[in-house]
Amino acid sequence: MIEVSELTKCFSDPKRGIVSALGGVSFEVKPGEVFGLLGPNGAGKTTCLRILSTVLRPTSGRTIISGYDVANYPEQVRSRIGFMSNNTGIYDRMTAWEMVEYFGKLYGLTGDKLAHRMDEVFTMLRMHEFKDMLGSKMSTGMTQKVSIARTIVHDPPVLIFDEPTSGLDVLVARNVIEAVAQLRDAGKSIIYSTHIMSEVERLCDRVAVIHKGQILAMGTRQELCEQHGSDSMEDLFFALIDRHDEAAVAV
Amino acid sequence: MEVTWKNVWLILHREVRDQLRDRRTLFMVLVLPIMLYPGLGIGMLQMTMYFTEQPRQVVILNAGELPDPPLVEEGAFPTRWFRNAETSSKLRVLTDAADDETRLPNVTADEQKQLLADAARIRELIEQRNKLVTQLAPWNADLADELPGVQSAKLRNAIQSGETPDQPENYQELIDEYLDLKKTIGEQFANSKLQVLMIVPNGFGENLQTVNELLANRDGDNDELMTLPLLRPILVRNRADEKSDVAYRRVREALDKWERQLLKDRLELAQLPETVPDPVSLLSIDVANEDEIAASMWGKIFPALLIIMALTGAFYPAIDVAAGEKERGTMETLLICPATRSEIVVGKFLTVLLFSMATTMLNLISMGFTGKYIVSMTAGVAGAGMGAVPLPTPLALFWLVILLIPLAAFFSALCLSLATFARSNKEGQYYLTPLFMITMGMTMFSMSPSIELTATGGASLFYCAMPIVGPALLLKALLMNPGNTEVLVFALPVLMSSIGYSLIALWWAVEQFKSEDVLFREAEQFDLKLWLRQLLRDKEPVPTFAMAAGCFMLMMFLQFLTIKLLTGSMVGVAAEDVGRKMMELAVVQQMALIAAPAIFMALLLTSSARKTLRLKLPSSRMLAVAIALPFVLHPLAIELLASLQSFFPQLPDSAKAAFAAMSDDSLPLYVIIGVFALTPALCEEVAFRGFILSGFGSGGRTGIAIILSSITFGLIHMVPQQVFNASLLGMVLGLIAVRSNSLWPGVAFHLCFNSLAVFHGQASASLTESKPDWIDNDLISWFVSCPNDTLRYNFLTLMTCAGAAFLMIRWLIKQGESRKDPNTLPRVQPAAVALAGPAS
Repeated sequence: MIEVSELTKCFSDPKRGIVSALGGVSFEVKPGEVFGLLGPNGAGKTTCLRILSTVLRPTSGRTIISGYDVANYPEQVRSRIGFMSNNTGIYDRMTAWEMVEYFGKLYGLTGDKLAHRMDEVFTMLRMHEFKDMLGSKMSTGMTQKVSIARTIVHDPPVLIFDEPTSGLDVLVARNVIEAVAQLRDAGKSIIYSTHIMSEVERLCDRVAVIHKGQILAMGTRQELCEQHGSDSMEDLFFALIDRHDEAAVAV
Repeated sequence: MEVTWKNVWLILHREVRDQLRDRRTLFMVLVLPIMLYPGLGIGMLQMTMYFTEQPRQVVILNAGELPDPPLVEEGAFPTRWFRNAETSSKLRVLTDAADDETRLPNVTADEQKQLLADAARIRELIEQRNKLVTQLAPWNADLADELPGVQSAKLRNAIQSGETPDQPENYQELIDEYLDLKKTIGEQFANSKLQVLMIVPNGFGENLQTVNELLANRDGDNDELMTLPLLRPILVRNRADEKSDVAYRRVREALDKWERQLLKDRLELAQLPETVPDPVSLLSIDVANEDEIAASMWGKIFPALLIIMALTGAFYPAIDVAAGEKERGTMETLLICPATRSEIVVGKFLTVLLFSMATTMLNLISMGFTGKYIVSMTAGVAGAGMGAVPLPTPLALFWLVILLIPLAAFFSALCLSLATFARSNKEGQYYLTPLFMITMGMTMFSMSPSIELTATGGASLFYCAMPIVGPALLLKALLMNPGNTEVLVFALPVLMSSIGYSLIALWWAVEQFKSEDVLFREAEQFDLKLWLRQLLRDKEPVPTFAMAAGCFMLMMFLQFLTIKLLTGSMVGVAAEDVGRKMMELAVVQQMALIAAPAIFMALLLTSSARKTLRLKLPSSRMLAVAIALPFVLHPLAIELLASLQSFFPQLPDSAKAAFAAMSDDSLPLYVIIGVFALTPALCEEVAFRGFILSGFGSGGRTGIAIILSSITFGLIHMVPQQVFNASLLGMVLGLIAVRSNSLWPGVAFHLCFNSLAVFHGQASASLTESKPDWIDNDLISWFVSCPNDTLRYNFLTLMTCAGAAFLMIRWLIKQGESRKDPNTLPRVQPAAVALAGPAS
């Protein structure tokens, strides 16, 4: 459902000149699968996901989502994905219900279909008790739930979560992870970017370790551990990054 | 730009609800206009009710000499000496008359004594001064004016004709003494509590009585009457002190009326009619009726208010819906929904437009009603005149609303673009001041009484084409005279141009919304050194859009700086050298102000000046077309300008002089061609088809690049006629440059075109001198004729040229359909700086 091949992205930076944020990234994600993007801050995860969500244009490379090329059919792609990141906030001056309803309508849902779907999502995420609360009054957990509801209201086949648990307390984070797991079971293709190892271990079917715009390793947890002779994801992760940095210094 | 109205409506609906839930916006849009004006009105009413002016102090010395009717009664000028009886209470009069036992209110006996003592001291100084004035008057016209009539006129004549007597030896000392005295009097007066001092000369009343009697008993011999010395009371005041000045004007009012009464008595005694002092006795009649007075008042106030309010009404919501969205972190949420960027922008634009219009209407309504209410309440107090101002007529109000739409649309789109560019609310607010200043400037311009739309005025269409100014002028005309159907012919051009500007601004906003740089700009410190280093290090083969815009700004700025220098250097040039001097300056101007910035920037900011300036050789076919085109476009351009002549303002004198120099036969032809054809061909092509066209086209938009480069090319010509002409030619030149990807065909075109203009001027000049017979031939007149001293092209020439021009331009357009301008291929997209941040 998601095919990314040789994706690159360059931008100009006042200090460093033309900088390559993504240097030829390729992967694919199938329905019913959570694909983990594991990398430290600045690795290029957000850039990559922003290209997938059509907010940024790639410098080169091809991305196909649900059969549509991201570069040529951004509107079609946008209506088939749900995207959630730290940068997709919710409106202060809208209630939870209004917010989700607004995006539902933008995604083309109307009438009974919208009402039914709204009720379904609000029940699933247990949001009914604060459905008339304004965004500015909500707790972090509530805003995160509204974000998830906004992401899935149109029931998209592809979901992209960019560090959805960062800054959340354990209880809320657990809720989020459960919600993602539920969505996987419903047959969605999911990309889940994080730098938290436990989440990867709990959630992800396959993982790509990304660092400085490049994928250093990719496969199921088991495959990766076997290939690189580590016991845990954490050891594997640090080993890969250290090795890459040493190589870069040597060059 | 495809737009689904369902999405636009959804976004509009959400944004409006969002704005209505925002206390700040509600305050600005609803509460402020409804509360502000009534509040201000009540404040003003209270001020006028509770604020009573302090009475000012007047002292009259020698008051016993004043004749009847009494000028002063019980420490005040009687109310009958004023138009408005209240004025009397604003002056407190103290006299030194022996029988004056008046004690002024709120003044102690000591203070009263002190006032008289101060007055007496000032009188002494004034007397000394007057003696000096009499001594100095023969050499000084201003001082001579102070002497009585006959004497003053005599001295003045003598001074003017230079027949003054020799100055005394101590003349300079006397002058110094006079100046010292003047200063001392000023200081003394300022230190006293006096506002006006009146000194009545001794024997004033008697003198007046004598004159009256002599007049009454006059017979053939009036010698005694004519030679009687004139005694003049003196009024002392300090004009630099506002209190003194106001008191002085009030005292004058009383004195004038009192004097009028004395004159009446005198004439009655002499059995002369009252009209003797007014031989002309003018009667002026004001035919304006109340409606018109109101219309002219509204016509002055409303357009200015409308503009300012439409701007402020658009600004704050625009900041909130664009910069605010970035600041609150919901921009990306919106960008990932299926709505297109155009739909988002249009939805937000309509929101801003709605609020801008609502704010303006509410402000005007609230202000109108408050104003009318206050005026009708104070009508009894402040006197007649103001009380009867009616509100504008319904027709005028209708036009107010209609013209508000394009104005508000323009401001909404402009503010939205600026707000999208801003990273935060705070940054957005900073853009208000410059926008406000520019708008104010344009408003002031359109409020000037000499700037108006008239059916016969040449410049009217030109004003219509200006943003802000066009609607403001039309509104002014319609408010001043709502039934005036003549100005309605301007409604269409004004609406068209306003809609055009709004669309450009809206297009810019959409571009901003599509730009990754703008959307993901994050607040970072601006470092000039880093920026410069980046500019010089990360060079691309061709310049960016911003560089091209910067280059144009630089040219305009240099032109502005050198206007004074250039006109200054023309001063004092002998008449026969003016033409030559002007040509020298034209060449310097072309090279230094137009070519130099472009070449300099191309070398410094791009990695390939050769590619930027399109220095490669063209194909011979292109060159041939570029040389042939001017010959067919020249007659068309001449006739187009001639037929549009009445729409443009008069040519300024400097431009007329330049045209005259073109046909100056005292200079060799090659010099004139060099100055007016070759130099501009090289310099302007390097700048506009070289650097600027490459820069504007760097995003891959060839069409817009050609349009923008030709508009900038037009603007640099300053004179409206040439701006128009050059903009049109710029399109053709831009097309040639893009299709041939070479500068040289453009240079050839430009050289030929300008040379033809020179030849045309010279031919006209020589035809005027000696008209050959063949010009009046019937056959020839199908092609050319020579009315009014200019060579004109006629029907057959124009048809042939239009046909040929059409074919050649079509060929040019077709040339590149398969192939894009290599200078305008999309480059590596410089993306978000934010991405380098810790977010990923």
